[in-house]
Amino acid sequence: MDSLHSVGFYASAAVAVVAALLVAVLPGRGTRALALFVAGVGIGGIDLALSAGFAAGVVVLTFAGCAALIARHDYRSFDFTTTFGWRQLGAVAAGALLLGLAYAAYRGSFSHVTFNGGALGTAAVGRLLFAHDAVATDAVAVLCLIALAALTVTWRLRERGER
Amino acid sequence: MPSVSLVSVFFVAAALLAAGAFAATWRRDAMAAVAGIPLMLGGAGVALVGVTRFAARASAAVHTPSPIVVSVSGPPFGQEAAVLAAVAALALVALGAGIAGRAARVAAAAARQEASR
Repeated sequence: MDSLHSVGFYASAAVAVVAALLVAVLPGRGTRALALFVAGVGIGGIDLALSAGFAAGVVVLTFAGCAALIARHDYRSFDFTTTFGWRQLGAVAAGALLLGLAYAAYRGSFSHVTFNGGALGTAAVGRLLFAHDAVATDAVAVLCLIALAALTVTWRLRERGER
Repeated sequence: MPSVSLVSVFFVAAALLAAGAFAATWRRDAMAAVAGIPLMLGGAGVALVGVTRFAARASAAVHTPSPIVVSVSGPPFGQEAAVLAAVAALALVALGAGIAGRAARVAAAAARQEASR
């Protein structure tokens, strides 16, 4: 990997990780959604530096969609009734997960090969999505359909309730 | 600037996954907790893309007449999985937004009913 791609990778990684932490700690929903979008741009930059241009485009688009959903104007807060101790336990578990994964990555033995797939790989990914693994693509499409239907039903019910 | 390797990609992916898990567990607000889902799946996607970039199937190694073995990258299964994970993250956030909206509506109706007694 040349130095330009290395700089792009590390800069994008720093942006993505800092923005991801801001998603967890920022108070307002607008700023949180903006941080989520910035994290998506960072992850897209990482993918682009790793010669996955098509995946980078999809990631940026989906994170923009997630940020738009989180920053909705008709957003209503709904708090879980969890105690502070459980939240602290979850935070410690997240830290333990980071340590475990980092240790596994550090101790792992990986081979290094030359990648010949090009910068974008759109055609190869498209062939895999629509020919080789069409069942997986269909499963994700069904999940999208269920999610959009649930979201639409919820919005309709809320509109009726407010009238 | 150190060169990027699969280990550094895994470090970044682990950091994103842990940050997503932290966001999902730390926030009490349901919609704020849902924001951790795309971060976790984004971290998993980074790891998958990294595996595609730096690894190859053993069958993809081309043996030449010389003692040099030329490794050729196979089909980008990791990139495909990263794309599917990103789309699934958007769907899960939409589903979470719907469920949280429904729960907020039920809680508001219960509070109104309680106040009217």
